[in-house]
This record gives sequence, structure tokens and C-alpha cells, in this order.
Amino acid sequence: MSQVSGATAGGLAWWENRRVRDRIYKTVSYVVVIAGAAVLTIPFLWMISSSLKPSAAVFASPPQWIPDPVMWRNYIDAWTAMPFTRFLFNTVFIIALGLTGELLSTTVVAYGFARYRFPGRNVLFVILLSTMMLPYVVTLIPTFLIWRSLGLINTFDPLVIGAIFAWGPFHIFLLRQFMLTVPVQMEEAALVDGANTMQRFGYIMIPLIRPALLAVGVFTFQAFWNDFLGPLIYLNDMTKYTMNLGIYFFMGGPAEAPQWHWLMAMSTLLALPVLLLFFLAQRYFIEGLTVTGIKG
Amino acid sequence: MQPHLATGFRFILVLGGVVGLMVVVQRLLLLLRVRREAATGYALITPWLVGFLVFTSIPMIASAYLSLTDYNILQPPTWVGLENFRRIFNRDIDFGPAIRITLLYAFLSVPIGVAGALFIAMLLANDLKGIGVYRTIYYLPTVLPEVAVALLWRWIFNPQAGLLNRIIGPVFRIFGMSRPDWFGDPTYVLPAFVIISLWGITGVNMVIFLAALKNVPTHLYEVAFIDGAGSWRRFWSITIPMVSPVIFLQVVRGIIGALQIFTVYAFTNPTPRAGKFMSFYIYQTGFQQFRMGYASALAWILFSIILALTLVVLRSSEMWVYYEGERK
Amino acid sequence: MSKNRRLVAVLLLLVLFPVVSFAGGTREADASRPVEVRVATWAGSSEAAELQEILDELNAGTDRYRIVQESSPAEYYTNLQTQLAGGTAADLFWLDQDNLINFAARGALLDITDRVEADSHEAADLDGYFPTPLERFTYEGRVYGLPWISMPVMLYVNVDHIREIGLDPDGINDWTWDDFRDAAIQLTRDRNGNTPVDSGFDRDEIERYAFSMVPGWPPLQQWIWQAGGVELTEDLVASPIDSPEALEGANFIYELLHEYHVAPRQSVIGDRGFDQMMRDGQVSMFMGGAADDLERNDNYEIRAFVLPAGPTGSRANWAWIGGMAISGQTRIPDIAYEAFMDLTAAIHRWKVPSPRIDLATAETIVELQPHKVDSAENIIASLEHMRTPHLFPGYAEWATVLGERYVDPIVRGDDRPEDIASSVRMMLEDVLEDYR
Repeated sequence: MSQVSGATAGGLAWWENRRVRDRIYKTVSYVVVIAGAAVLTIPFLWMISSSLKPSAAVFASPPQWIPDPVMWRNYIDAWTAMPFTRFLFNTVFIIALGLTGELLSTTVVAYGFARYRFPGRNVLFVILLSTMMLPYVVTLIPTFLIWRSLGLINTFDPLVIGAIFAWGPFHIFLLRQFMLTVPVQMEEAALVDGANTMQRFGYIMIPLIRPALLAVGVFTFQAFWNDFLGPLIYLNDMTKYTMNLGIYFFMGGPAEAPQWHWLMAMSTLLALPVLLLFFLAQRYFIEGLTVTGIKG
Repeated sequence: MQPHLATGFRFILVLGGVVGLMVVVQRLLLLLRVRREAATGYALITPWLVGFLVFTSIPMIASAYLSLTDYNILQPPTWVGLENFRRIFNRDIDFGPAIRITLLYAFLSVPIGVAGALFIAMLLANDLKGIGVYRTIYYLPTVLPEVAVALLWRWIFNPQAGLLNRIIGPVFRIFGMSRPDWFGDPTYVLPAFVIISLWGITGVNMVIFLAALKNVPTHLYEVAFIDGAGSWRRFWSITIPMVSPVIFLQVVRGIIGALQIFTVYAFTNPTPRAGKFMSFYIYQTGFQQFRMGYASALAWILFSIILALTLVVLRSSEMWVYYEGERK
Repeated sequence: MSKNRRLVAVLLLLVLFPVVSFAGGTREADASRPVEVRVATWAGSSEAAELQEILDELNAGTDRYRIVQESSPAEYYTNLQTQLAGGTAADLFWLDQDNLINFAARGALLDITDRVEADSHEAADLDGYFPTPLERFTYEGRVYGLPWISMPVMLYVNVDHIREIGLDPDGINDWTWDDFRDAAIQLTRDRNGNTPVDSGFDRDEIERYAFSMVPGWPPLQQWIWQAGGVELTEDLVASPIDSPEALEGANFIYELLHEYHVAPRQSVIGDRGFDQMMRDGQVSMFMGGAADDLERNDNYEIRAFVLPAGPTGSRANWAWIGGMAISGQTRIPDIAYEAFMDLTAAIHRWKVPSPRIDLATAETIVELQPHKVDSAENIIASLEHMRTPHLFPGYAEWATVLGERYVDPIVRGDDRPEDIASSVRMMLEDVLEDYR
């Protein structure tokens, strides 16, 4: 865990002077961190446990933590009760396009803001930041109408095309901050060697900002993976549904019970990829955010 | 496959179009004898500029127009002037409760959320063993699909079999009260949502704080220590000022997020009498009852509130946000 | 750089954007093949499977059309409206009584009055329908669709539990409100076997409930009607829910739920499901549509009965009417109408009870749903007590106010009917005024 050593500067000082005090401080930290982790994991464990129970046992009281019998087939049943293979394919398709569009456009725009001087740049950047504050509900209805006038309701377009136009102001902001930390001299050297804009951008900037790209990538992936309202509004027929909408089928109605065991099985499946992604990426991910030295 | 191919095709087309547009913009500006650097800069930010016009400015103008009409989407909009607003403020029985619960939720959840995320980030910034695992666990709330999270909370808050009532039920019994019916009783809906927000304070917010804490120069603490400052003092005089820009950012993001909560509400389905959260109310009038004009008016009111709150925070930030670059 | 040039640049940007055009999909039409007719339904997975069998049979019997179903059980009406708005709606869609008028008034449905009059199809004979369900599919004198089910609310009773408390199941059809309440009190048991009128009754640990009710189902209107009140006058001017009769109906429910605690809380029912709790024996009585499938059960004998009579002797029940309409946007109205008629007739032989006089008999019910053998007679007996609310284009909004402001607090036990009735009446009449 060397990458985090020296994280608290206070620790360093104590490390040199007061071992005992540090020991106590650490022990307390451990206790609090582990206790917090336990509280956070309980619902998650319950989700996994419920996903392996028969439907009726989900609400058994007292709660049954270890499923008996273990119903592995819940996963298969839930997956086949609705065309989930198709839903997964649709979701992956949306993410693939969205991620491509978002990464390409936000980096290019961030590069423009970070490296080029042009009249009105600062004003435009402030406008960009202020769009973070715009509630999506204000633009939701007219945006729907725009897509309708293009005849693209019930297609994937409204969910992905926008990504080409640098959707996330926060992502542009992150990338720009990161780019500002890269010394200009490196690019100037390339300029002398006769490299053009695209070459400087592709060969020098991109490799250097990889951690920030990763952070933006993870955020974007998650945003698409979690999106519920977008697909709910724009996709109408079942062959185009995403995983999240598929899960909605198991919700039941005001008087009809949700299919809890299936809901939990599908939710577990939905959570795993992101969890794994974060676990593998967290080191670079945090680095990506650290170097930017995020400032308000 | 066909719809996928069609979208994929249009996606590539638009992507190519944008690239082409960028080139055209640069050439054109050069022709107009704009400096090369500026021309390239404009070209690079073109995707965002176009997106801003098409997906932000035009929809905003359209939405402002729609808020002055009666529009059921199947028939053309009819102009009603300020009637929608008049109705919202004078006769809409849902509006008051909706604004009330939405604002209260933001006022309660944002400060708790920001303070909590900072606290956890400080703990996790320590050099603990197995820190990667803890960080992942603390990131869990953000990782779980919102839909799944909402369902988990339905179970936790279930008045009979739910985990929470199992734990606190006896306490209520001592006071002779019946166990709370969290989503069923209007008094408990807001507390329930604040509790849910507590769970979500880790995740992205925590990671951003973690990053900010790592940026605080070590020597500051060392100097303070030599000067004899206690850990409490060091926290207030060094940590807080140094991360204050991030706190500011998180407060603003928090307010915007809190005022737009939707998915958890839609899935937990609380009693409507506690007040519906604004974004859900807008969805309901716009997309369930298809009163698009009325919904647009509601959306504009929500927007004004967010704008006003953000400005207040922005103004106040001059007093408590410390920018290193400014004073060094 | 001069200001003019900047302006020119921005203008060029604006002009260039539309150049990025969108390629539309193509629609193919082939005269030799059957025309595809899309039907939108709210069918869940098992209902959709049954419907598919019917469609397969219909499709096999003709080369004119091929009906394809698109089911969306969640947010059905939102979806339908979005599709209509987006111009991608199905050719046919299922609608219930509450929503038909909404869609018809906004011009979303095809007026089929003339087609039906000129048609000799068995399902086109309007005189063969019961008047109430048929009327729900007309708007301002024009026909916009046809019903395929007309279903009374029944009292489903776990007969084993009734015998346990020493009552005779055969007497249930003659129950009054008082009989119903007495039975409900005896049926409800806490962990220690106490009933709600016993002193040690623990309402936090109830093992078996007599009844179940959530805001919205069963409709509170039934009790208002049975007590002789109305929630909306026929001339659509008043909502006298604060009349003594209407209050008596609402109070009966309030006392049943909150003085005797004979039903679980709404969130418990929402999480567990009405039908599941009844099947598991945790709830002894339930009011549901005649087509509900509770008789099919391994653990208990469950039968459907006529609702208990109110103080006026009325056994009025809430009729639920489902049907089908043709989209006003369909590009193939003729073929869609053909498919619509054939499918309607086919559903009349699937769903019970049918809105058609000739098919609504005990024999047909038993033939189609053999497990309803003990309930069939009672279902037919309930048909004459069916009642529907008075509908108008603003009904959805009006019903939302009634549901959220009046029914919800009463069923959840937050307010007594007499405390809120007059203020809710004013809100309801406000909505009525808007639509006059």
C-alpha cells in the first residue's frame, strides 16, 4: 500500500515523535473504518443473500441471512423471465457509444480550454461551469421534443448522440485541470520538431493524462450504467430496453408484490461489473483526481 | 440489430460531422485572419459550443416558451400567458408540499453529506492495511445501481420485516409508540430520505475529498506541529482551509443533486401526502399526465431556486473559501 | 479580431449545424405478405404468453394481417402517451375505462362508429353488449373502441378460516356491513391469539389479518355508494363526499382499519403482495376483480362472493372495464380494424366475465376457468350491482386529488373522514370547474 503512505501529514509528524499516540490514533481509525464498512456492506450482503432465496423467504421474520435452500436458479430464472441477454446487449451498446463520444469530445474541448488562448475563453469557461447547475428537468421536455421532431423517439440516439457534444461539464473541468498540470515545455519541444495540433494532442497530452481519462471514464460508465430516466422516456419497445428498465418489470404494481428474489439477483449482477471496475481502477482513479488538485 | 446499426450509423455520421465542423471552423477563422492559436482554440471547443446551443440554450428557450402555454403534446400548444404560474402559486395543492420537502431534504442532507464525506475521506487517507478493500467498500453505495439501492431501502424500511424497525422497534415501544411506517406515514418520509442520503455520502464525494486531502502540502502540518498546534487546531487551521474549494464544489454539487432526486423516490413510492419531490412531480405532470406546459413552468421554478441557492453559496464562499493561488 | 468577424463565425456555426443530417429508418411494405398489426398491452409475462397463443391462432387463420404484441407492464400509459407523442405508437392498444376518454378527447383514437354500424362481425353487434361497459368506450356519442372484459369486484374469502371461527360460508352472500365487520374482528389474530377486541391485543405483531386494503384498492367509492352517497354527481358539478351518507361509507372503512386493525399497513402489502398474502393464509378476505385467480391455490379453499350490503341494502361494486381501441395515427386503418374485430372477439372467449350478454353466463365462466366453479354463480349475481364512476376528460386529475387527498389519509389512518371531507370537496370541485 505504498502509494498512500504519507497520506496524512499529521501521521508523519507523529511517526517521528510519538509512536504511542500514533498507535492509538490508528487503532481508532481502524475501528471506525471497519465499523463503517460493516454498516455499508450489510445491505449489499442482504442483497446477495436474498438473490439466492425463494421469493417468500425474502421477508421472513426474523430475517434469514444464510439462504436455505440456496436457489442458484433464481439467476437463471430471472435472466430468462425477460430477454435480459438482449437488455444487456442494448446496455453495452449504449455505453460503448456513449463512452466513446464522451471521452473523445471532453478531452478535445478540455484541451482547447487548457492550451489555447482565444478571446472570450474565460467567459465561455464560466458558462460551461455554470451549466453544471442547470437542472436536467428544465431541458428534459424540450430535448424530448427536439428528438421527437427528428423522428428519433424509440431509438438509442437520444441516449448517446449528445455525448459527442461533450455532455459532462464536470468532466471537461476535471480534464482541463489535469492538463494544466502538464508542463507546456513538453509540447513546445514537440512544436519545434514540427508536430501539428493533432500530433501534440495525441502523442504527448493523451498519454500524460491517462489517470484523469480513467476517472472520467469510470464516471461516464457509471452514469450510463445507472441511467434510468433516459431509457424510461425515450425507449418504448421491449427489444430496446436496458438492464435497468428490465429490472423494472419485476417491480410489480401498487397491489402486486415485487419479485424480490429476481430483483435482487439482477441487481447483484448489475452491481458486480462496476464494483470490479472500481476495485481494479481505484488506484489510478484517485491519482487522476488528485493531480488535478480540484479547486472550486 | 437493425435499430443498433441505425443508431451506430447516425452516431458515426454525427461524429464525422463534428470533426468536419471543427476543421471548417478553423479554416474559416484563419480565412477571416484570426490568429492561428485562437482559431484552433475555437475549433477545439466547437463540440461543446454546438452542444451548448442545441442541447442547452435552445431547450431552455423552448422550455421558457412552453411554460407560458397549455400543451398536451398531441395537439399544438396554446398560449396562456402566466396562467400556469398563477395556478401553481394560487391553486396547486401539490406545489407547496413538493417545494417544502425538496428544500428541506436539500438543507438537511447536503451539510450532513459534505461533512460526512470529509470525515470518512480523512479516515481513509490514513495508511491503513488493506486500504484498497475499504475504499472499494466505501465506494459501494455509488457502485450499486440506483434502482437496486432504492429496493434495498424498501426492505430496510419495511415496517414489519425491515431491518431498521427490527433494531429500533423496541425503542419506540418504550415510548408507547407504534413502529414507524417509514414510507407510509408523512411524518417519516423526510427522515427516511435523509437516512438514505447518509448512506450515499461516501462514493464519489469521498473519492474527491480523498484526492483533495492528498494535495495538502505535508510541510504545513509539520510547521504547525512544531509550533505546538494540537490535532484539532491543525484540522481547523490547515485541513479545512486547504480543502475549502472542494467543500464549496461539493456543496454546490450536493444542492443540485439533492434538488433533483428522482430514481429512489420513484422506486420507494412513499405516500404522496408527504409531498412529492419536485423532479418527480415534474415527471408526473409532464410525462404521466402530459401537461407539458405546466410541467415546464414547474421546472423553471425549480431552476430559479437552484440558481438562487447557488448564488447564495457563491456569495458566501468569498468568506470561507481559501484559494491558494490568490494569496501566495 | 474584430467583433464582426466573431459574429460571422458564430453565425456560420449555427448555419452549419443542420448540415449534420440524420438518416431516417425506412419502412418496407410488401403487398403479397400479411400486414403487420401491432397491439400494445399491459400484459405481464404469463398473461402475455396466453395472449400469444390467441394471436398465433388468429395469425395462422388469415393471410391479411399478422398481429404482433408489444407488452409493457410497467408504466403502460406513460409509455403509450410517449409513443403517441413520438409517432411510434402501436396500431391497436388496450385501454381501461379511466383512460379511454382521456385519449379520445385528445384525438388519439380512431372513431370507429361508422365502421361498426356497417359491420356484421359478431363482436360488432352493439346490442349484444351490456350497456355500462359499452358506454365507457364511447365519447360524445361516438364509438372509440370495444370492451373485452367487464368485471365486478368480488369478496374473496378463505372459506377454511371462516369455518374455523364457526361461521357458515354459504351465508356470506347475505352479509351486511355488520356481519362483515364482526367476521373481520374474529378473523384477525395477533401472535398470542388475541382478536382486536381482546384487551391484550398487540397490533405490532399480528399473525393473521382479516382483510387487506391499500389507498386505491379496493376503491373507497364502493362503500360510499353502498351507504347511498356519491363522490361525483352525474352532472359533473359537485363532489359531495361530505354528505352524511358518503361519510358513513368512509367511516366504516376508517373504523375497520384503524380501530380494529383488521388489515396490514400499505407498505407491508406493497412489499408482499395482496394475492400472495391471501394464498399464504396471512390474509383471510380480499376484494378483487372477478378474474383474479385466487381460487387456484394449494393450501386453502378460496371462493368469491357478492359484496356485503351497506345500510341502504346496496351491494354496489366497482366495475372494471378493459377494452381495446385503434390508434388515430395508424397508417393501415382498414387492416387494423379487421384485426381489431377478430382479436376482440377472441379475447371475449378468453377473459371472464365477458361484456357480451350471450357470453356472460356461469357456464361460460366454468368452461373457461374451471377452478372458478364455486364462484361462477356469485360472479353472475354481482354483474347487476356493477357501477362505474362518471367520467370526463379531467377525470384522471380529479381522481388523483381524491386518491391522494382523501382516500390515502383515510386508508393510512392519518385523518378521520369528517375532518377532511369538506376541504377535499372544495379541491375536487375546483378541478370540475376547470373542465366545465
